[in-house]
Amino acid sequence: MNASGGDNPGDEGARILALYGARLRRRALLVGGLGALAVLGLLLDMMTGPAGLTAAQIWAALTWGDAERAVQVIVWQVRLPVALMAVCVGAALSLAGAEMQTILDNPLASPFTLGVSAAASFGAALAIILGLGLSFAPAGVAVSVNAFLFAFGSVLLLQALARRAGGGQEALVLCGIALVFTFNALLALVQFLGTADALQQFVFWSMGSLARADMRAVVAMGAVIAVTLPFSLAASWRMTALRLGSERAASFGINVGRLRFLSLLRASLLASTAVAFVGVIGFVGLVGPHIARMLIGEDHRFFLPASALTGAVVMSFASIVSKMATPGVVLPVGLVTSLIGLPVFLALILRRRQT
Amino acid sequence: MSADAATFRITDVSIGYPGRPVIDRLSLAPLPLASMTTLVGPNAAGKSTLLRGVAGLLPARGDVRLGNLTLSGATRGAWARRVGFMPQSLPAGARLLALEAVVAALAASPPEDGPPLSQPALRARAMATLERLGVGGLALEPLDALSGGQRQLIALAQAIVRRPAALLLDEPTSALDLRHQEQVMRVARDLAASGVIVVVVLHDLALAARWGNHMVVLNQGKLAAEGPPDEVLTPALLAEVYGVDARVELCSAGRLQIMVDGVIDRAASPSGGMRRPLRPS
Repeated sequence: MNASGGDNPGDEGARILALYGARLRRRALLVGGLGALAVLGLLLDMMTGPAGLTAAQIWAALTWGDAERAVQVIVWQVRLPVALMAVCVGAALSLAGAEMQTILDNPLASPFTLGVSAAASFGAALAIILGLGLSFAPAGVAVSVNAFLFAFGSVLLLQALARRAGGGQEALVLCGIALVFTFNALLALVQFLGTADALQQFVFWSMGSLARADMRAVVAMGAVIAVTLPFSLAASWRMTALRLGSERAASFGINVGRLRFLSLLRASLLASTAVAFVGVIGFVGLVGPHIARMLIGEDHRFFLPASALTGAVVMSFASIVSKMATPGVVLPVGLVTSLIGLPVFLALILRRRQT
Repeated sequence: MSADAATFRITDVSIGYPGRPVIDRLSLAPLPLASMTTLVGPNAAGKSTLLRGVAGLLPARGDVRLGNLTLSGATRGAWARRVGFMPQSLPAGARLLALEAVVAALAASPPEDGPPLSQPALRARAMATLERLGVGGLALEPLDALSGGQRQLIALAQAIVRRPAALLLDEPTSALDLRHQEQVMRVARDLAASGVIVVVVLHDLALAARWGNHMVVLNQGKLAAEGPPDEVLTPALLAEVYGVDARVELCSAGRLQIMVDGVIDRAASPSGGMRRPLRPS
């Protein structure tokens, strides 16, 4: 007999467990609701654009029904890739942000805190401004390949540096900040060397735009999410335990260093791929997890998928706004997420402080 | 309780941080089954460091073994199945319910050999543990809404829900009022009585003398004394380790009480020390 007792709670405990079960079902419903909202966002995003299409026309085109050839082309080659990319990129950045906020124990962490976007921008600048890149990469994707290689490489470098500095989340954050400044300085150097024309191209890239999306990019981004999400979910209890302190988590038998390393690897893979395809889109990776946390708490079984879905919803609606804000012009979606997301985010936080 | 968990042995152990050894080649008498050991000593004596090293959270050299399982030979998960550790405080800011914090402790890695527990079984066991500590009613409260004493009991539930053979508690009563101190120490002693090897770091010597049946005194990373509290706690030891002029007396209830009369000015006389009263008498 052990003092921690039997496995079965008393009547009152059983009643509380039943209440908790109801709460879990409510959370599952909330995640389902977020999923439905993401689908709605996707549809509305596809309906928005210069050629006003109705839901019926889009449905006909999607189902190879009775649609005009022009509508077929618009839907399949323009609207669908952009709308799907918005969903995928939003989900990827927000999921990456949720993982980083947990492993760094810092609510201000986002996929870009540790230099991922700075490194990606530098890689893209090398390709756009100086024409430097992998010789075997096809011309159309050289910028993306460069951005990805530098973003992912910077995370591997970060891991090596942080390990030498003693591991731990402080070492990671400090080395990450050092990388941000290093890549920004290198980027400034490349910009200094570039022509005005190349600089303009680069500035457009760095603002983040979904217009570059095609079906191949959507498939690649979707595949990265499909590969990383199951590992995230498998680690969800360990991530939840990590929220209670790394020493405590280690005393529960978790190899905390390994958990941090693999989680950072997933987050950087997601963020690097997103940056490579659509450029720098700030803020979704920060705001998505925050909204999810307020809605659903930090049981990571629900928190991680809710973060991904919240990011998808935010990004879809940002894409809609970017098309509607100025008639005839599609704003870079990165501008929209920052300009509209920031006040919304502040309002949410201030309201939470008051209650 | 498995037979291999018979004793906890700490032999020739050195623990520290890179370039800063804290515990230097420390050996303790074996800690037997169903014992409650209190670990005391002045600030920076190395109490918490020893506990973390033995829990496997800091690199430790030397021989730490529980039954036939050694710290150096066990994986993180295998050691955590036998040895539980409770850090001083739960961090604030996690948006979790009390019950979830305890379930997370169980679900983080398998608490025992054999097939993993189902989710309902994990929840039932976590709930039963909370009830055992008298905090079942707090199960659905957010962690951040709990008082310091309540949080400490949730933290204790996290440590014992895994049913360790040895349980290491780092100052579990710090920042607790008298009633919660009593509650936490009672749980620890009940655990010891049921067969767990309990080691508790405490600052309060009277509390340590009252609840422990074995006392280890550390000073500057070395063993100063060990044994039954009434033999260990002497005016000479208190003078040597804490640098105070103190009396050790039994109160009317038969418990050890320590009364400090003054501090010993070590600078004035390195050999014996000059006694200086706290108040002019």
